[in-house]
Amino acid sequence: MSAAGRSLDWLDGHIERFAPLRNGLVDEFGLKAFAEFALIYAYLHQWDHLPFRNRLPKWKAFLAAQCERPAFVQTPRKQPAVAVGYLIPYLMLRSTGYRFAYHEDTLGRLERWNLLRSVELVPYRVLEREHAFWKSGWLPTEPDWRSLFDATTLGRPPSPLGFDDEASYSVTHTLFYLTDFGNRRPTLSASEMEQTVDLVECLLVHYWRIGHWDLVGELLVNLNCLGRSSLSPIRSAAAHAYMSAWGHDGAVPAKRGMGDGDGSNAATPEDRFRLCYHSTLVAVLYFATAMSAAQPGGTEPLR
Amino acid sequence: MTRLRQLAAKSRAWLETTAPPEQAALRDLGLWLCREIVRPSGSLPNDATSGLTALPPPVALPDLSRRDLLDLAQAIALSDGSVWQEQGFNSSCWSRVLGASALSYARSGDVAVVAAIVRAAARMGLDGPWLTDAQNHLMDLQQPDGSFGLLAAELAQLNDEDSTAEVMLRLTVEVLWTLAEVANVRADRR
Repeated sequence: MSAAGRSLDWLDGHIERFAPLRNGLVDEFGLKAFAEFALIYAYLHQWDHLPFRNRLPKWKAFLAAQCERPAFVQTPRKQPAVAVGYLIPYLMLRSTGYRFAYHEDTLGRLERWNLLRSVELVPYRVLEREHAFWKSGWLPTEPDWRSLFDATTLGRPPSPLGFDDEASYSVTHTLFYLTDFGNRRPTLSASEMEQTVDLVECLLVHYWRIGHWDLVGELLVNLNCLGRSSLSPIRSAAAHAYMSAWGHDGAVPAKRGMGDGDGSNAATPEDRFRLCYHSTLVAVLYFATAMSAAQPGGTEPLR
Repeated sequence: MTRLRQLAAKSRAWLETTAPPEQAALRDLGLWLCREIVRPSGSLPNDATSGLTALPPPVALPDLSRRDLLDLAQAIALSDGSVWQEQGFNSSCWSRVLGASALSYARSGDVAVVAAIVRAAARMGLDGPWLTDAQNHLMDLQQPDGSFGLLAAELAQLNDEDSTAEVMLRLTVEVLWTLAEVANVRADRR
C-alpha cells in the first residue's frame, strides 16, 4: 500500500478523535483538530482525486454529524466575541455545498452584530479568516488578496535568519491561502515569486536538518502550490527525507523522535494522536497537492 | 573590505590586551589572521593531503550530524581545491545548501558551525545571497571589545575566568579564520 493510503487509513482509524466535543464541551484542542480535518476534507472534495474519493463519504458523514451536535451548534452563540473560530469547520463544509440552518442563522446574526471581524488577529490569520469566508461562499466576491498578503511577514520578508517557527508557520499559511492550496496563481511578480521560492527552500533545509517534519511537509505543500513543475535538488531531496519520516502505520510524527515508528513507544493512543494528527493531515495534503500540480494546467484554476 | 579591516583592527586590539598568556599560540594565530584580513597574502593553509578525496552530494548535508558536518567543512577549508575543480561540480547547489545550512545553524546559535561552513564555502569560491547573509551574521557577532560571540549568559554559568577567556579566544579565532578566508577570496577576485 502507498504511503498516502496508509496515512488515510490512519486518519480513518482515528476519526472519532477529531470530534470537537470532549466531555460534552467544545475543547480547544478538539476544535483545532476538527477545523483542520474539515479543511482537508473540503479540498479533497473539491479536487476529487481518485485515490481519496472512496474515503470522503465517511469523512463527510462524521463532519456533518459533529457540526450538527446541539452542544457544538450553540457554542458560537454562547461566545459571540470569538464565534468565528467555532464556525471555521462549518465554513469549510459549506464550501462543499453543505448547509445547516442553525449555523446559517448564526452567521447572519454575527454579521448584523458586526462580529464577523471583531477579533484582532495577526495578518496571516486575517488572510486565513477572509479565505474561509470567501471559500465558504459567505463572501460574494474575492477579497483583495494582494493587500492581505502585503500585511503578512511574507509580504515584507526579512532575511531567512530572522525566521522562528511562528514566522515560518506564517509563511506556510500565507501561501496556503494566497494560492488557495494550489488552485490559484498567486498575485506575485516574477521576482517576488523567485524570492518566495528561495525563502521556502531555505526554510526547508533548516526544518529538514532539525527533523521538524510538520513544517517540512507544509513547505513542500507550498512548493506544490506555487506550481513549480521542475524539482530543484533541494526540494527533491527534502521530499525524499520527508517520506522516510513516515511511520509504518501511516502516521507522520511532527518532529524527529516524537512518535516515530509504529507508535508502540507513545504513552497512550491519544498522546500519539496529538503528536501526529496534524503532520498526517499535512502529509495527505502533500500528496493531494502534488496530484493537482501534476494535472494538465498545473496551478490553473480547477474550479 | 573596509568593514573587514575595521573588524580585524578591533579584534587585534582585543587579542593584544585581553587574551590569556597561556594561550599564546592561539592568540598569535589570531593576530596573524587579523593581518591576513587586512592584507590577504594567499598563504592560508592549503593541504593536498587534507583527507578530502571526494565530496558527498550537497543535498546530503542536512542529514549529516553536527560532528560530520564540521569534519567535512574543515576538510574542505584545508583542501587544495582539486576535488571541486573536477567536472560536474554543481556550484549553484553547493552554494544554496551551504548557505541555507549556515543560516540554519545560525538560527540555533551555533557560531562555530556557521564559521566552519562559511569558511568552506569561501574556500570553494562560492557566493550567493544566503552565504552573504551568513557572512554578515558572523561579522555582526563582533562585540565592542573586539571578540566574537554572544556567550555572556553561558559563560556566566561557567564562573571560571580561565575557561571563559579560552572559550572566547577559540571562538574569536574561528571567526577570524573565516573572515581571513573571505578576505583572501575577495582579493583574488580583484
